[in-house]
Amino acid sequence: MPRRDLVTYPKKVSYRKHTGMVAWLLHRITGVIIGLYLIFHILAKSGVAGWFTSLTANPVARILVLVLFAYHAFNGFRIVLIDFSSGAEEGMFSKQFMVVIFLTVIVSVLGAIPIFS
Amino acid sequence: MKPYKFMGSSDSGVFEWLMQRISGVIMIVVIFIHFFSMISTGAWGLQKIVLGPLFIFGVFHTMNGFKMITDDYVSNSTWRAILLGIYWIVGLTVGFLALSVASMM
Repeated sequence: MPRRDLVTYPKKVSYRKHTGMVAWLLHRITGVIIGLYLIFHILAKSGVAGWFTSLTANPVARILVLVLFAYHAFNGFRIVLIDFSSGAEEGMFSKQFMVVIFLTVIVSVLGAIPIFS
Repeated sequence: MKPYKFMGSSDSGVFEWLMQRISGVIMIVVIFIHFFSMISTGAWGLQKIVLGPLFIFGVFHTMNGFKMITDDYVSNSTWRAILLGIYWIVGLTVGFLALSVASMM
């Protein structure tokens, strides 16, 4: 008797690689990295993992964190638009993704200036 | 055909889903303030105002995000219990440490 709370899929699932999937995958990857960063950041600030502070004091590491966060933030806002507004309309994914990338680059460049100066 | 994705009951997870959106939008604002306040002045400045929401919503958003990934890929109930237990322990520990850091500022 199959369980009703489990959905069954074929063993081999082939996903179509489109812009929305790339955006989703990057959102997952950046989310995991930022999540781990936040945990270790708090641990470092509380004196438990002091080594992490010296690791992230590097300007390149700071910019990397900013890039990851900026992408996750703007793409997260895109997801909110999909859920609550007209963001899921056909043909919108590529345009939205380009806007997300554009804003990520702009914020990262703006953030890099004071980090390096 | 193979069981793949844990679905839970059909009406569970709505609160978590909504809070993930709300905490995400709040986090966008507070982290940008936190980041640019830190790199521009090096002082706490506005960070004092955003520190509380940053820690509370940050820890929730992180742990709920990990849970959402677990929901997608882990269907075995034992492994789910172990992972969700770890998330709770890590979340509470980090949250407690975060509050102690915030109270020292």
